[in-house]
Amino acid sequence: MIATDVTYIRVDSPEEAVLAWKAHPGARYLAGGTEITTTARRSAAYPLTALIDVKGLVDTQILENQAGRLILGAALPLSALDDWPGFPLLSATVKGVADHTVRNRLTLGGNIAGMLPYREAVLPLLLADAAGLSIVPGVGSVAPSRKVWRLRDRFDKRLTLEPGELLLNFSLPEDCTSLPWAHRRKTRIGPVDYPLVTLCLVRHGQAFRLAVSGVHPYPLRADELDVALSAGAVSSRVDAVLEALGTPRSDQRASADYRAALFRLMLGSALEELS
Amino acid sequence: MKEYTGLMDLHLNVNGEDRRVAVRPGDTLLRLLREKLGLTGSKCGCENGDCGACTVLLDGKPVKSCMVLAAECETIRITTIEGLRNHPVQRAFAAENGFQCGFCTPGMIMNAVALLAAHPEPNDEADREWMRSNICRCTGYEGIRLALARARAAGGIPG
Repeated sequence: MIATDVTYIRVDSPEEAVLAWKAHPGARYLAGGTEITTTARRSAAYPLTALIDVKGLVDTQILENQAGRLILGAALPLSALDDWPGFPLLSATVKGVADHTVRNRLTLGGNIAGMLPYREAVLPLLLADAAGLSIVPGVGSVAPSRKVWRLRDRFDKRLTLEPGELLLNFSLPEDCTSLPWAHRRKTRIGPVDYPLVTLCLVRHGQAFRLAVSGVHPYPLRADELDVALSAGAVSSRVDAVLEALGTPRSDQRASADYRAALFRLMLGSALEELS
Repeated sequence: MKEYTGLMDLHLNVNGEDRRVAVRPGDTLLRLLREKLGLTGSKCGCENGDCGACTVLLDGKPVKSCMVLAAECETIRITTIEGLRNHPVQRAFAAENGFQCGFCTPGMIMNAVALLAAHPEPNDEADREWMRSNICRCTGYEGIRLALARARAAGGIPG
């Protein structure tokens, strides 16, 4: 239960959504709601005046191929992608997020734009060089407008959105979904837990692309990691990636040294699998 | 566009019955079921989406009702443990002692009903994947696993 009085708004179009945001200062967009309901219940410091329900919008629920690009709605529940054969690396990755029942509500956009630092669903999208489609409310009397942007340009520790900007969907080249891939995920106590290390690796010709979460303070795909993977024996590539990565995350779940040791084993096995 | 403030006049379908109830937009489905409709079978455990004791079915899919706002459910078919009425999965849990204190049992059963509808054939991987959503502190899960097997063997699981 959310203690404060909030206004609930169900919209019929993205344009209505951003106009509603302008009309209700402090409003938040609602799709899966898993983070909003739990955070608002726990903390009076979580400001919440209005909820704009966007999960009924066609743009946010889309899951289809359009002219060689795969379109993934931001309000798709992760369970819709669990066993979906269209992007196996994405399916394998989202299966590690939360538990099955929560994934029936938790959305793709919510996982990527949420407050938790792991945001694992973004890793395959970063590797596929996905683009995002959003709509922004115009300033003053300016009408709302849609924007297309490159995910890697907007993802700096987390997805950076303008005030009132509503994420609609992601798109990516369909041929990226069939690249050879490997996924590894380790937790401390069991499958339903935050990751100590998650890594996604794809092979593009002779080159590798790597994206990580858990081991780093935030999800990361960087050209430096790809360069470090480019040549040499598996062990020297792993060393080079660790050096490029910097000091691993350290918290109550695992020390930096432990994460580094895990990462070494996991990346080594993933490289051998794809080599 | 529809906008609600104060109290909403909400029309819901719960366990096959049309219900009309006044709720605040911030009320969760769990609180509505327990406190407005008297359907106390769905338990309030962690209220944080971790334990699964509040699991209900929305259009046949298991969800944790503590993480869903009642306002979101107007066009959705809601099924709670009270709506099962001597379901084969309930009988299997009783026959296999798939419970001890019973607090987690309604959520376990709701998730199991959806699981068996989606996977009518034995599927250990799916069983583990789905049932990890619910936590039990008493049984050690063996009775629950046996109850799933018994319910499957009985067949004819309604969705």
